[in-house]
Amino acid sequence: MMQSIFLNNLQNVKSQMGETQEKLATGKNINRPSDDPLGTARLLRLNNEIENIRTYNNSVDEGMAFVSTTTSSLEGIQAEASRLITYMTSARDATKDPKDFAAKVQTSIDNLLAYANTKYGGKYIFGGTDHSEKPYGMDSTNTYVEEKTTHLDGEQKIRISSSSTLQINIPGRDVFGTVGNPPGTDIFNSLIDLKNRLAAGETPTDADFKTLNDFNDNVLSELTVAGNLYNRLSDAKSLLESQRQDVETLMGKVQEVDVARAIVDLKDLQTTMDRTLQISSYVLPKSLLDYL
Amino acid sequence: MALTRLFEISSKSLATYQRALSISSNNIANAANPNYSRQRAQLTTTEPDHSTNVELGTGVDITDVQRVRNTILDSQIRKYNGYKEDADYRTSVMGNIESLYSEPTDAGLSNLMKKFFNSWNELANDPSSISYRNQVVNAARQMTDKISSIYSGMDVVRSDLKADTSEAVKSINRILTNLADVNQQIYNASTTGKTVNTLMDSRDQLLKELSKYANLNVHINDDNTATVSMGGVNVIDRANAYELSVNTVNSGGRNKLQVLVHGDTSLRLNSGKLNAMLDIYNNKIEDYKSAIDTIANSIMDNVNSVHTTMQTIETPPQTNVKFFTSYSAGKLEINTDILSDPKKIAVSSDGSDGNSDGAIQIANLADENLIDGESFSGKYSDLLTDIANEKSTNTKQGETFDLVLQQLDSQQSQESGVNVDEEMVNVLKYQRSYDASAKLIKIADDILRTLIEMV
Repeated sequence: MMQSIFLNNLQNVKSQMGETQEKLATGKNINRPSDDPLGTARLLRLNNEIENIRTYNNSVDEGMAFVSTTTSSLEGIQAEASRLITYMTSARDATKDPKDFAAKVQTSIDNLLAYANTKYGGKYIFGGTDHSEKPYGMDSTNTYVEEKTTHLDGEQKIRISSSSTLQINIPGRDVFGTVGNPPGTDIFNSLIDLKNRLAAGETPTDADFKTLNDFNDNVLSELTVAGNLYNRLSDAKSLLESQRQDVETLMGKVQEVDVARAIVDLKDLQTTMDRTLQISSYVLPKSLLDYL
Repeated sequence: MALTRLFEISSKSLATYQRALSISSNNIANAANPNYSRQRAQLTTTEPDHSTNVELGTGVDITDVQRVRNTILDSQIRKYNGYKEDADYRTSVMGNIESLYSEPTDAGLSNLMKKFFNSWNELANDPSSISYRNQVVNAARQMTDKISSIYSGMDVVRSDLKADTSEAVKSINRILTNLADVNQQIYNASTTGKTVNTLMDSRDQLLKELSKYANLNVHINDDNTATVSMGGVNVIDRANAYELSVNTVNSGGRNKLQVLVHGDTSLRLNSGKLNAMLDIYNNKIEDYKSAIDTIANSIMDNVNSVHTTMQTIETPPQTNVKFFTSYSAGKLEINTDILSDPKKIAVSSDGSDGNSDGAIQIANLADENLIDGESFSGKYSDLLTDIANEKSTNTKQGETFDLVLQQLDSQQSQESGVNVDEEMVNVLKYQRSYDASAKLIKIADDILRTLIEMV
């Protein structure tokens, strides 16, 4: 009878030691769902949260890079517009020949077209949602600019949280105006028209200046829009970061082993095991036969 | 005459104490035998001589060899044996099932489902990108592979259970045959009036072995044979053992196992290994599989219902394309066209390749409550909690029953087990009595000689 009690106690102590050792070796409280069913459910939820935060973070980063590219392009466009206004002011000067400025206007048109067709990671930033080809280009007769793709006012949306999506693109029409066919009232075709008149020797009119100034103001206001977008994204990023830290703290509480506690428990069990073995080794072998 | 009486008494003593010593030596020899119940010699005074006015004793005899056994403890032990084996078996099978899910690691289905839905979120960042599309396909593959491996893993466990059940029934039949045999021997011996202590030990050992498999009802008859019913059905009737067999029956659309006696009556089990085997085979695993079916079907239907309304980025864009083509028995099939051409993933609501409305909608599905008011991950978490609870409950119960059994065993070994110290004391007692009786014979012999030499 004593033998079986001793064996059972020894078995108990050893199996408890095994559990504590596993926790120390893996550093985790929960190594399989049955270790703690409720804790596992919580852990799965928290793991899902972390994975969500990681994905949203990716989207936000993508968005921020996209908006930065947009901002640089807009700044370039705005510089181009300022330059044009300066040139046209001096073109009005009676001492200058308008024909000299025609080439400058052409350069501006080319630059503006290049900005309008900026690409970021396979997407045309002013092209709306159609990325099959450049959104702006010369028509077949090479006399005016036309829109090459449809869906120029399409919205490029990203998802930055479980309940919010954000449009990150600025449609080309907001910046350059609607390019119609036949040629519309957009900046490209207005500039082509201006260039043609300059080449014919005419000086820029007040209407031309109004067009250029309106364009400049428009680009400045789109820059503000882009800036706001960027701020919105960067706020989202900070929020995600603080959420991540919160979730990781919660996960730590559920999953991380209290190493100090575990080691003390282990030492305790070892002492108990030693004591059990010692006492049994003294008591078990003795019987009446030793004394007969 | 008085002297002959002295001889008679002493010689009977010698014989008696010799037999008593042999009983003690039998006890000592079987000290380590766990199935042995110690035997006690019943020493009674023989019928005294009433021929004179004074009653004169006639010595001692062994009238009975008693087997020290507490039958109530036996039946308690059988009961708890059944409970413990049930809980232990369930713990071990649930451990196998639980490990199929690989939770809570990254390889688990919870993470893979989340990654699948989030891959659509990433696709929304650049819907025309082939590499993001490939990422969606990869994530879908990993998720469907895991579902398939969990499902087929559970089928493997199930077929192992079937094999285990067959083996268990074979073992039970063997035990029943042996038991019927022992019953027969006990019956034969009891008709001739012999004591059957060793046979009864065998009988009890077989009964204890049998109790591991199912709930028993044991009745020990007056002639010491056992009548046993298992799961409410009579299986041993004196020397008759009824054979058990395993039968498959289709009930409620599921293949279920039954254990039948005599090919017709099925057992009503509530403890023991057989109970655990049948319950997990017939009920638990099928429930788990059906929970996975619900989740997979819902994922397929909901993803498809968005996907078919969206357009691909082929030229010209196609619509009405399914993402998952079918689901059956753990296999969630991804549209093979999509596998060979990721451009066929349809997320555009207006045909332009930069439109990501479909991707955002599909990513959103993970957060919506689409199955009985729960999300996919919520439903899956319910399933996992069920499995985890089943295992941890049975582990704890197994430990509790084990403790009870230890106490019962300890009580039984106190009562029926051989205490070497006690036997040694008995041996000394019998040896001294033997010495004294032998001395008496010598003295009687001396007295007789004196008497004869007088003449």
